[in-house]
Amino acid sequence: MSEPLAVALLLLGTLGWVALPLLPAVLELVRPTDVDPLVMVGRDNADISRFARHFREYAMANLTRLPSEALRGDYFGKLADGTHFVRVARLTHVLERGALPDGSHDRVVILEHPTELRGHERFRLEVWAKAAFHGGPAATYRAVLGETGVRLGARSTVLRWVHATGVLDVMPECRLFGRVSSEREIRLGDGVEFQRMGAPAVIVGQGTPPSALPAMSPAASYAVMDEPERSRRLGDHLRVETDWYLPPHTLVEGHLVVAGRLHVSPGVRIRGSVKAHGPLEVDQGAIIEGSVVSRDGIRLGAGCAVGGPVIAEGTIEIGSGTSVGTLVTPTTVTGRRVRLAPGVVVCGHIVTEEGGVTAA
Amino acid sequence: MTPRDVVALALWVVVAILVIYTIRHYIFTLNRVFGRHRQPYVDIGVADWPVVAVFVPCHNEERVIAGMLEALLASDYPAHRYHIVPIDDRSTDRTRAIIEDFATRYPGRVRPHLRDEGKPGKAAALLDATSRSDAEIFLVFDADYLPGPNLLRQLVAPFLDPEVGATMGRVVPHNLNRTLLTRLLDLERSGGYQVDQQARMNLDLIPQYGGTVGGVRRTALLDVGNWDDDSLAEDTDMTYRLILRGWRVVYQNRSECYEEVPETWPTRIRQIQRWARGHNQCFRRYGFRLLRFPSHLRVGQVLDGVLLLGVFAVAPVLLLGWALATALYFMGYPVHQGIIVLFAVASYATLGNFAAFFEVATAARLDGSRNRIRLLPFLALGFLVNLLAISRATLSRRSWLKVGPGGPRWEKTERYRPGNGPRNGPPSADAGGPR
Amino acid sequence: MASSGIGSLLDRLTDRPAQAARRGARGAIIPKHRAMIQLAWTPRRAARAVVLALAGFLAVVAGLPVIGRLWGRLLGWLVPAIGGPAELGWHTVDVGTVLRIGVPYPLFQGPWPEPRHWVVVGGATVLTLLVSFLVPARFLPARYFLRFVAAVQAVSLGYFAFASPPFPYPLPGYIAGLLTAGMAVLALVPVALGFGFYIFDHSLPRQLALTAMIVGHLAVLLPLQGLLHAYLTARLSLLVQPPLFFIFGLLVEVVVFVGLYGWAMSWEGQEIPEVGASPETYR
Repeated sequence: MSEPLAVALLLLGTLGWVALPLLPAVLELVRPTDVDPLVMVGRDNADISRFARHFREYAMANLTRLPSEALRGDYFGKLADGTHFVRVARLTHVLERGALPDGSHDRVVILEHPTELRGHERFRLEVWAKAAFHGGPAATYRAVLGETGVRLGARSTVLRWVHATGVLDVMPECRLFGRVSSEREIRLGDGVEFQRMGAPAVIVGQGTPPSALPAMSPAASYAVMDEPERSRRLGDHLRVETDWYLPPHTLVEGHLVVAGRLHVSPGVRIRGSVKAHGPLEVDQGAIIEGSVVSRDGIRLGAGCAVGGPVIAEGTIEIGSGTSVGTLVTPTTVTGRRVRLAPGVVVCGHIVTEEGGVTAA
Repeated sequence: MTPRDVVALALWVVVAILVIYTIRHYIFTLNRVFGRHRQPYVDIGVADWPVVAVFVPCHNEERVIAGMLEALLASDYPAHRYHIVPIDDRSTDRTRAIIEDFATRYPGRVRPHLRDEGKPGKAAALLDATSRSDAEIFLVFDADYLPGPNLLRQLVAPFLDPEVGATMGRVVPHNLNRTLLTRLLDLERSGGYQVDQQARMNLDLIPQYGGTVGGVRRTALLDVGNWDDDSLAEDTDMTYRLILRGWRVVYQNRSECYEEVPETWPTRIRQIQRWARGHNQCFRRYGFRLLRFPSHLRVGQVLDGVLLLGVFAVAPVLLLGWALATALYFMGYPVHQGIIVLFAVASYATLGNFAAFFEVATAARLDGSRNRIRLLPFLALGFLVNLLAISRATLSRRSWLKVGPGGPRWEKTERYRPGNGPRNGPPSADAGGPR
Repeated sequence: MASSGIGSLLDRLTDRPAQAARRGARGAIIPKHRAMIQLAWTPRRAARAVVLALAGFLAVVAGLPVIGRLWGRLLGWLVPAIGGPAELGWHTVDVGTVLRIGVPYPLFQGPWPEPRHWVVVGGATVLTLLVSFLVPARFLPARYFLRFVAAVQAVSLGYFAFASPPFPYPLPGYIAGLLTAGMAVLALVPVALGFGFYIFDHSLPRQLALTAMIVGHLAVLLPLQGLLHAYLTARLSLLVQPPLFFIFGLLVEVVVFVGLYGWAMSWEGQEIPEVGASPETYR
């Protein structure tokens, strides 16, 4: 081999070898396979009943294309996209496991009339109850859409979502994964686990959703807050650089931010929002008109009232008889974990990262 | 100490600075992937929403302004709680006519603010509009952005926390299919927001208010002395004034908004030089104030703040590193086996800093759109252009001296979207699942 | 309707509702939004990254003597073919007392620049600069790169215009340094991947594949690169050694690493789904 040829081969070989790892990059540049903008999400988690609405639209669009016999009696068929369904207008025993070769629990179930089930069923696909629906105990649902009221039997599980146009009654020890919503009211028994819920009123056990925050007592009945030494005014809030304790029956005008822990004593009224970087504890009967925020956890004692959202990066515990939001100004409770005592009323949404529970 | 030792010492200082930034990249990236994720406000769906004014500063935006206004009008924020304020500052094209047409069609919802005099520039326009608004929250969008229906609510939600002074959402390029540059900018943006900003949020450091897809609370704004119309980067300037005063800036990774990125290199160079000058001006204004370690800031926040301020000064430092390595090479340092050390140092001081590639690749992977990561080696080309452009801007007088008699001016980024009709952005999709 | 396979999958998962709750009607995992996606830092993941990085490092170090001998054979064949001296130099690196690595290098001599070198290299520098002005604006990085190369070469020309022999880095020693540094890079590849790749959700075969690809590629590249540097410096004089060192030295290895790394990061993982283009819709 001549020297020039050998040199040329060395040069080309080396360049080619260097270029080889760049081949995927060059190919992606000249023949793009991933050049679309990231698909933007038009809606977000705040729209809790979204899946239910979409399911209703989807099912209705499919059902309008079915033959007329599908609208009479009990009917087993396929939706236009191939999904099997059963429309139950007469006998709910068709829903029982083993009644059919493939088991109707493998189908989308459409219930035309008020239905009460025995319990222990497993529904792999959605249940669409067009009339009142009473589930039995220990049933498992993928999703439930109720066009009136829905009652979930004790120890039932919902995997994706449940939505009721009327009242949603959840018996004790149910496990509700995903989204839980009602256009009227959600009532929760003891030991119910949940992730995200939304309704004009979410009530644990017994309670009445308020239309407004409790009226303020005469100003003279409150103590004036002493501004701590290490504090300063920032815009519309007072910033306290230490832990802070609000004595009983103190009136706080405006917003308060505390760089440490904050303890709010009984009977305190805060006419703005409050935030603590550390744990925030609110004692019995305190009223906070704005938001309650903590970088840590929040414990709201019994009989408190909060007008704005409750936002914590740790656990939120809400005591018996406490209300958050009102029917007129619904709001949001959002935290890593949420624990609701009996008698709690939340008007609006409850959203947890790792789950919530109702407990005595 | 010989001159060679002095040069060597200087090179090691440069390497030390680069190592600090490398560690910062790694910490941010690892935190984003494995750390505790903080988005405490993103799930607030219902609340007693405050009154919001959405400012859209415009200067010759006829190609994009209609799409922007339509997108804002389609927002799911309660209609009676927000209004849109297109701020037209001496446009010479059809921008003003388009805005006035919208104002006629949507009285009360679109309330134009038309400027024909006063200082030019975005900060001055915002200052002017702020003084005429009684809203509690001011959101700001550039005219080429395409906000989705839920974005206003998501950006306002953090203000329900009384300590939050400003919020910032994520910017997502939608014209990335245009050129190699747009694809590289898409990767850079991904790294900057998906990893960098979110990690700062996670670590409770200093997320940056970016001047668009974000907002400021009125009381916080007035508390820190309103917009500074002498500022070359009103966003960074606002971030630091808020932080130094004791307010918080919140970044929400979930709050995404499409933008148009520069499609040509000259436009990109002008854009990044503008950012560099503004950033360096903030370095001059706030760097030493931060280094006094204000009592309300943690050490980590101060260090992050200083490193963020210095991010555009790294480019000339890198160039200096090259110069020093070259000098040292010709000076014959060090003679015994030192060539190996010099190899390592010189390579590291150039493109050997793998951390930036790691950050971008991680971000794109988290985005779930993987094939674009294959373009990673081309990022070196973008870095080269950035390096020279930023160095020029950083070494310019405007970066470090007080603004001259001309003051700030409109430094507009070229727009590429065709026409001025309805929005021409990419389609939105209903996506997601729980969280 | 769910196929029987998916049906039984969902049935099994119904006993583990927290997992079933993350599956769609057809059994697919419903992805989180990209803004929320993370990986869990588990002891297993940490251990795997550390073990792979350490094992890879030790394996490459243990293999360096073999790599050195293979380089010796390759160079022994290539150097005479391009007109170089048949004999190779050997630089020895001792790793403690357990390992002795021989690094071969060609014994080309880099001449001090003579007038003909000045003409050729100077002309090429000017030409590079001129070509950079002809590069269209849309290829601006290429323009900058060419000018950068020209600038480094110009500095070298300036140095040799005033300097007198000897040059601090004789060619054989320079090549030995390049190849020795290259061996260090080979050993550090698994360590770098430990930080930047093994921590992700790729399968073990894919993690090993990337390691093997990068180490294998660089192991072939380094002697070819060293030989090319030696040949060009021998023919064009020491004038070209500085730009070869600064621009076409270990930076080439960095580019190779990033190229393969970028490709591997685009491979499918086991946890982070591809969601960008396929949002969930109802059914």
